[in-house]
Amino acid sequence: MALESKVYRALEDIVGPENISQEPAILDTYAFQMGTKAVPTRLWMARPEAAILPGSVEEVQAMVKVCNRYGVRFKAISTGFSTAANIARTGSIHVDLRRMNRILELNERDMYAVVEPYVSWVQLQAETMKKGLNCNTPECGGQCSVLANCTSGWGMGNKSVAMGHNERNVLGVEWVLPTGEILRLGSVGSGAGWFCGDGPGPSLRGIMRGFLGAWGGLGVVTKVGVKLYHWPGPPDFFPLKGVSPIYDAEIPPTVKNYYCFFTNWEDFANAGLKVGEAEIAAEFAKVSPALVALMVSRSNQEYSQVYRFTKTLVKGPGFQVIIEADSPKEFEYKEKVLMQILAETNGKNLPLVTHELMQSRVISQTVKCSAIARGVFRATGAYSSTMGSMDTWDLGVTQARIGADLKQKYVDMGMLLDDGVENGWGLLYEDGNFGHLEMINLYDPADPESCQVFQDSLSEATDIMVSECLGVPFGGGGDRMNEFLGPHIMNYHLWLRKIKKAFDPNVASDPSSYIRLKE
Amino acid sequence: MAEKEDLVEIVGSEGVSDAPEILAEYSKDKSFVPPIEPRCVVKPKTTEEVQRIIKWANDTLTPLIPVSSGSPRFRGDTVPTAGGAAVLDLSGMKKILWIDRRNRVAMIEPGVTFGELRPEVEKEGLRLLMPLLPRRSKSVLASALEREPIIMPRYHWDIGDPMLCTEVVFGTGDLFRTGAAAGPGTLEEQRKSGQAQKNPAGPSQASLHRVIQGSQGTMGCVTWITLKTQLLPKLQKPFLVGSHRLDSLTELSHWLIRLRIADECLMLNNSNLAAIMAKKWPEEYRRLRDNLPSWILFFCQAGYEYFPEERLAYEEEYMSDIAQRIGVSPVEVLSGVSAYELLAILQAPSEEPYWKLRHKGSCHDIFFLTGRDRLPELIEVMHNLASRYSYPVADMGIYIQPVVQGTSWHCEFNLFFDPDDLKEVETVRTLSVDAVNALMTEGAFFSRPYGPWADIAYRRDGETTAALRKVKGIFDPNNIMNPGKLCF
Amino acid sequence: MALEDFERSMARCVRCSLCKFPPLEQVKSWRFANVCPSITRYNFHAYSGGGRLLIGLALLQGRLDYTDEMTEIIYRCQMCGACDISCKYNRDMEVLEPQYELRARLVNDGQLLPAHMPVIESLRKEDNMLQRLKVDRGKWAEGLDVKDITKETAEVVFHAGCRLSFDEDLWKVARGTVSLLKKAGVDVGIVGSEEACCGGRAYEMGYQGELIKYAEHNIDTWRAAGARIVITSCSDCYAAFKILYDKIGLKPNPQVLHITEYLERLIAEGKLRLTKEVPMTVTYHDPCHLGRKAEPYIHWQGVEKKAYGQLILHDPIKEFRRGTFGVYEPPRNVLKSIPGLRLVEMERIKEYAWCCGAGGGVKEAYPDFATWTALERIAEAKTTGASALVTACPWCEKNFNDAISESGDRIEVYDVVELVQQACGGA
Repeated sequence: MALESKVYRALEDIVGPENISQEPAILDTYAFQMGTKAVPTRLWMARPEAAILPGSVEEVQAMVKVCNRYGVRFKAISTGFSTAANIARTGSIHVDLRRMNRILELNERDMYAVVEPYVSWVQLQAETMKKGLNCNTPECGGQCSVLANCTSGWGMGNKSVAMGHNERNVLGVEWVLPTGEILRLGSVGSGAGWFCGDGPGPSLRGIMRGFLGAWGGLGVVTKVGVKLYHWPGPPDFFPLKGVSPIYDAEIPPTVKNYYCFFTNWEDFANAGLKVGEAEIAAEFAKVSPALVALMVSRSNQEYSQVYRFTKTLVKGPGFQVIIEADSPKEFEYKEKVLMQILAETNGKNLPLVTHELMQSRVISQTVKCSAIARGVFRATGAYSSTMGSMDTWDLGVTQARIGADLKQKYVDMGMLLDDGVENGWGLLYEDGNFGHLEMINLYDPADPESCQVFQDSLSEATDIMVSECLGVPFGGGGDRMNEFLGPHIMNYHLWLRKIKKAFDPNVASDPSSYIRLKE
Repeated sequence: MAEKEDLVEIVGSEGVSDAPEILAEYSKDKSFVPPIEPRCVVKPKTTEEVQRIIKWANDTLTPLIPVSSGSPRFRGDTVPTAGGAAVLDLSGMKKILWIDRRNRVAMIEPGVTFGELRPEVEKEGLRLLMPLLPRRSKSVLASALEREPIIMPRYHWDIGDPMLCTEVVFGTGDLFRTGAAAGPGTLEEQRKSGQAQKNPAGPSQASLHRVIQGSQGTMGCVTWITLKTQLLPKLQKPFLVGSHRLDSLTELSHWLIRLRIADECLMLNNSNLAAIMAKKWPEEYRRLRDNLPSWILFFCQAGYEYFPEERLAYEEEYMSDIAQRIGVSPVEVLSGVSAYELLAILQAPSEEPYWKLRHKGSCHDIFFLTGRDRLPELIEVMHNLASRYSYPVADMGIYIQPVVQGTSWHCEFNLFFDPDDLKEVETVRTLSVDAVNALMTEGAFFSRPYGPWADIAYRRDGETTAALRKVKGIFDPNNIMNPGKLCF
Repeated sequence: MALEDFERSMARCVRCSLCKFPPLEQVKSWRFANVCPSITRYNFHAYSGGGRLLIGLALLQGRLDYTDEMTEIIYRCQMCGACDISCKYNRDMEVLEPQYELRARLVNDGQLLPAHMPVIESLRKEDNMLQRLKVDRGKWAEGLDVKDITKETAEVVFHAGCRLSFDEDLWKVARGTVSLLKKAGVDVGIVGSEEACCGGRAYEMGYQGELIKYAEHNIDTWRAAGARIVITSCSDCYAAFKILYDKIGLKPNPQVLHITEYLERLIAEGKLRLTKEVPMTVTYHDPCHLGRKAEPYIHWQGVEKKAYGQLILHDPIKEFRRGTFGVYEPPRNVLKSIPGLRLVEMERIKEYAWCCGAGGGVKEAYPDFATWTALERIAEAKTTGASALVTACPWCEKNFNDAISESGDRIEVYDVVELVQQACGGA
């Protein structure tokens, strides 16, 4: 259903002709997403009716009002790195927030930054490091949108052990509701600044997102204040030498990476909790020999050699820890504690990773969050996550075991990468207070059979999340999932629907990745 | 009363009271909110009873006022705003449902107080993330629901901490569990898979615990929460730092939090610290107050399971370097006040009488959030207003608490007054209203607007008001839950 | 290869947007965090490297018909290759190569960009990209006592290239190059008015046939001259000779060197002595065609195979060109040899350098976009505190100077050759 010309003109009047398009070649680039369908010809989700580039909250508001007036749906997108960013059915326009890309405030004294939607994590990080601060870059990568990740998406990364989950790193928010009002949460709405996103009274952050974001289903968030954390490293990051694809960083002696592995899950679980409680880790992630080999290798060819090596050395679950310190004394203390924990839990530290070259590569990639594509895309072309619920570290371990069991047959079929099967990526949050784990399944989106397995494994995993009482999975949002999971989880989907109805009675905000209203 | 019989049927006759002396107790508190008598007080013991009561309240359109803490209460949020209300007193639900050392979590019912919970968690090697000296009758759950700031800002990751998951009966009468507790599965089934009802976010794409917190009981009634706890340290070293310059202390606080080298970290003015420490009134209080510097920072460094002395050693070194750079001197004893003694006091609820009542018998608090740079100006605004109203500035207590890991600052003015002196009462009452107006105009953010502050706060933010009313319409469409509070 | 040969690769785009930024470890500020001029200017995802892969994929899968706007989207791109490098930092997939084929497909299917048509027509008639008369091509060398290799042999042939041949403002670079070579005692000759275009720019505009024609012609010319080395001061020509000719199976027999590579050698051998101080702080701009696009071509013919179930490998092993072996150090070493000269680096350099804006047919078709891109680079140069921006390509130099004239911005622009000349006492 094409956009009526009067609607197009009304939108064009808001943003100017250069910033709106109905050209199919442009629209199709918003329809494509990895991991969508089971056959190559269906790599595409729905093509939007138009793509529009607003440049300010006023333009966003005006656009939303036009959409409400004419019954047109819209969906916000920034870097758009997920099927959640797309629309499932035709009839919506995509609102690309790329022009809104400023860092509005960097408050060193109160340790927060205020950003617009198209500020990427790597941009924010480059500026915060100059002030001795860092931010919680998520594992989708430093190229992703800070705002989308914090207010509308997921929010987890290797730094979460020391920086939490990004749902909890949100302070003030500016949000254009689906009906066009501009809602400013917390202290922003009261004209007091960006330091708080809650109140007066109840916090509307709880409506804006949950463990998962609303993924564009509840209007357009246009600004966010995010918490920042201490960075003990140099203000312009570690000096780098070399040329792509290998950058060797000069890592100071007070920063070090470890790959610790264990012979059994119990020791692994206990060690993880101890590391969290000891408050020694700047970065932490459960990794596997395959994931480590992918990160340090320059090509798939090289990976196949390195992996042969890592999988012989590492027999059992393991995690990566990065220690960062402001002084040699602090570093020595933290390393001593880590070694003590390993001794208590029969853990070992992989020598390969202590090699200087490996140190520099792994640390620079991890701190800058640049390795996502290497870790989960290069091998086979795409990946999916099963499991992925968040509560405790022990839950993560349960998900690793169940996820691996589920995955085994698909690996045996040759339809997923044989990465040792148990290739769970898991995290601690807030000194180990929370944990989560996703089972990584690497499949080829250009191979129909591999795609089918990706679909089947997701479906099977979702059933298991319910039958084994594992929580809401990583991919657990969106209309279809909410309909399926809701009845098993306090009928939350009914409350979500009420929220949608209250805040978006005209269903102007595309509900594909949130929830649809029922007649 | 026919409705009383309905309630008796739910909770038993011992659970319902309409005795005048009981009703009088719940008709007012120590705030300036006008007293209104409820029609009855009902005390459920189980979630099921709560749910039935709320359904009854919907059927009869009876306002319900949830209360979890014992008296004296201070904020006005538990005083009915309309006649004919029933007080839903949950203070009898006193079970400590679960304490789990491995996951550093406790699950409690509304009536559990800090004094009751603390020894139980300590048996497991854990400690509570406490607010500043809660009164003995204060409900832990209520404190968490109110988003009271905790005195260990390094563990205050989110404004909702230490509250995690909740079980709630919404104003509709529907039962819900928030966060990971929502499911799938029963709590036991979840624990079998390794869960501990910790993740507060969700389920899925909304975090309803956030609209319950700070709602003053207007969205529903919480019947249990899980609570983050912290490990008990093996070694502790507390310090006091005195200064006439608040900014020196806030600067040191910033670094203590930023480098994660202190647990407890808070600032008090001389009046408040004297009020907390004094055992003899009024002489000791006055002596302490007059000898102490204007501002005092209290913080405590700690070592835990692994090599606690070494941890303390490097943390203390950092602290000393920073203190020296700023030009302040952390000490163990400041003007006769022992940091160790203060630490012991702060780790427990307030001794009786409640510390805020010791000076003059009553106290009215004004508190808000702000950025660090705004603190001096806002304090000056308050001082000027106090002078204008002839409130003795020297008597006013001030408590500054960095919150959410130092990204904002809770600023609290404690106006002590004699409740039997009508002039003092009137002074504090009018001063407080003007103060809230003036402070808000100058950028103070009243994130927890009690009583008359609510009108002023919501007038400043029409969009939030409209949005909150939509939320209220979802969870309490008949507006039976504490009507008249906030913007409802 | 045809566009179809890249279908599987294009389908493996995961829309991660890494193609819009330098390799993330190299991002040093918010301001200079972008690496793709096209999407930075035009904002719609279609304008990114990944976006154009998706357009190619959509065309192959019959989702799209040709439109004028689609053509514009495809051509509003300097083909600078930054997207390719950024993607390949992590992935084994081609991003630039499919874009060459996409343009060739458009040309073959008659979807021609109107602004390019007169340029190509003129090329076909006058053997140059500047729509000038062939007979005037050798004028830059008038008065220079240098061999004409159409008449005699020489060990080294200096190929001036279209830009240096016809742009009078830049004749100093061509003339300076010859002077330096002669000063160093090099047996150098030029083709003069008989010189023809390298064919590189036409190739990048989708006219792949022109490359073949000029490759054959130029290789024949050098063979006849008995040249052992072909030197050029134009990075476009350098990449055409060294990379593109090899790519189409016509690898030249003489060694192809950029003047900066040769100067580095001459300086090291003591054949050129840089004695005069050039007291200046400069920053060096890596031309795309000397940097990431000058990495030697790797021929590969084989099949994709899978190991470990779904691990994508190739048989035989396929090495990917990731920008590692571009010509980055020789120009820098030459500059560092100049007494009194201080070299400071911009944030985006080497394999992740920001494009000057002139390439891929953009200068010809979208001069405003070319200028915009150049101004972005000039802004970056100025943040270094340098008083001059130095480059090693006449197209870069021209585009920077045009942008400066239009905008009134103030920074000096030099070719490496000019500064070396100064250091040699103006030889």
